[in-house]
Amino acid sequence: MSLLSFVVMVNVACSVSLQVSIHRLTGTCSETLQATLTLPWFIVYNLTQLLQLSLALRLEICYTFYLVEISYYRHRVYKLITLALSVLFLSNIVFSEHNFEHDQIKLDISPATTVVTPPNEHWIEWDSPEGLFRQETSQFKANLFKLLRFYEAQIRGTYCGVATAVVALNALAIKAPASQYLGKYRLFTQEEFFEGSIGEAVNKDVVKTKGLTLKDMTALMETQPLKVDPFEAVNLTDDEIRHHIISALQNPNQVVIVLYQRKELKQEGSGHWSPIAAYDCHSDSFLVLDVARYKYPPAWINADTLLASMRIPDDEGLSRGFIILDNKVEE
Amino acid sequence: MYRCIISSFSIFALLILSYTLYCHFYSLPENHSPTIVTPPNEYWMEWDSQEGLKRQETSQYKANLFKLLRFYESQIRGTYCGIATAVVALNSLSIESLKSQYLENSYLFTQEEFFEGKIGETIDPARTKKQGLTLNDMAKVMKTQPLMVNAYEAAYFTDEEIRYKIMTALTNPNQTVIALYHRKELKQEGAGHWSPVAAYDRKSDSFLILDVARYKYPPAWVDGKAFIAAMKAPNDKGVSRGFLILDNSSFKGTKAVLNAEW
Repeated sequence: MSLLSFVVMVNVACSVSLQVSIHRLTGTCSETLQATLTLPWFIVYNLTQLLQLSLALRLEICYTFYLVEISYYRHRVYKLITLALSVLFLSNIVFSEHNFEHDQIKLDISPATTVVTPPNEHWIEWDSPEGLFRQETSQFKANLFKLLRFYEAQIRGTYCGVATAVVALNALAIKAPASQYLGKYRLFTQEEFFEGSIGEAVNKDVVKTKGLTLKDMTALMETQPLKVDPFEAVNLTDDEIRHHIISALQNPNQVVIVLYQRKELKQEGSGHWSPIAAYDCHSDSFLVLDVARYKYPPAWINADTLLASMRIPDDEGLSRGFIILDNKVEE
Repeated sequence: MYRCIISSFSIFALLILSYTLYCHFYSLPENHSPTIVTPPNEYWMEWDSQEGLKRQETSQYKANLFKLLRFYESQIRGTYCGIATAVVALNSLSIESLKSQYLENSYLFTQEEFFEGKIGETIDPARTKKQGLTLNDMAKVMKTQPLMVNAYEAAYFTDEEIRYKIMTALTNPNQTVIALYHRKELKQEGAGHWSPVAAYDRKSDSFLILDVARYKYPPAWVDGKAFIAAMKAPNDKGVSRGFLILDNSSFKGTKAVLNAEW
């Protein structure tokens, strides 16, 4: 019986893993993969157990198939590789202090109530398996963890621009003016955003009712010790925009914030500011940290859609676009 | 045959050696952000250091990490660490909040409007704004929401029990852990502090704490032993600090509200 299921397993492995494993071996080692590595795979001959496992661990199970499959090659070199790998695997199993009790992966994850409309063809949630994979393998995320550290929700309906500015300024480690609430510590907050020089650069009441335009945001950022590069999306080609944003995402001193029209993504709302945290070249999509956290989660948005949504002018005919902020000012 | 084995293995070894050397010499220098009040020490390290990122990637106990990160925010007043932590936990467990007067037709727990409704009735807002939340207060607050609440005073449990309880909660996507600890044990600036626990790394025995005082400290990997000792440190009145495990699974889709007594 065990031999039969073993043969079936090898057949399944040959069909699936050749496509998946080699492509995925180039990616980084994920959590579920580690779980698979530490499982005693040579005992798992039972087919039903295997099916359950493949359900729980999704594609990562193919790594173990990959080993079995490769041992079927007759060539001496492949046999050597198999030998070396299996020694590595066995030592991993023997010497790891892994506790198998906690490896049960629950699949009934309740969706957050705060997603207003479900993901569609233009965007996916960042914590879906596909989203997490893109985040792990992305090469353009120099500032992702700094942005996540200071990521916050807008506190009023029109404060998307203010929240985005606060996240960007904090992530770039700009010194904030003294706060009346936080004692000796310094942090940009949405509550006290218009204190000091920023309140002089823009009209507070207009921002509170209408939000920030691309021009306002540029004026506001120029009061801080930053190099500010505003780009109107209408004047640039798709490739130019991609090039500008991607090169900024590789630089740990730069942050990109973007003004786009939500309707193009089939989301609820209209013009919206948010920081861009990463780019994934395989799927050609941007990770946008949506500051309206009560409406939408951080999302991977298709680049074509995002660029198109930046091109749509606002009610007054002013172009939308993006701003690249650099905290390395030459003196 | 032997020559073949030896040569292939030596090539393999050379590859590994060259890769480790490459990693050693070409790794980027880590520079610290000015929002860190005191630099990392032997008890904690920054989450975006190379070692921290590695722990985050390989950790097996992080079922709720990305939900917590989605709603992670900084405390808006010096004493609001408990309130900020409660807000992050409740939002990440997708509990329905009261309708906000500021966010047109949307629902989100915010620190500004935290004391609206039942929460303001169970605890004294004026006292909380002055002194912050104790373990008991936090349990009372959480029991006004559709949640299963387990509060643990750390002094009554052994280190292994605490570690095991937090670890099992971190593998469950329906549960969130929030902890009350004493900063002095970690040689950080400040005293008693609330923060959510987002992940655990078994190899280094450390917890990822999403510090809500973001103007002071980044999210940090805190050494397990030091963290448990910090939870066991008693407060001014001699009562132990500890942690809460919140579970939203048993009340999914209902609006059950528990008795606020604890």
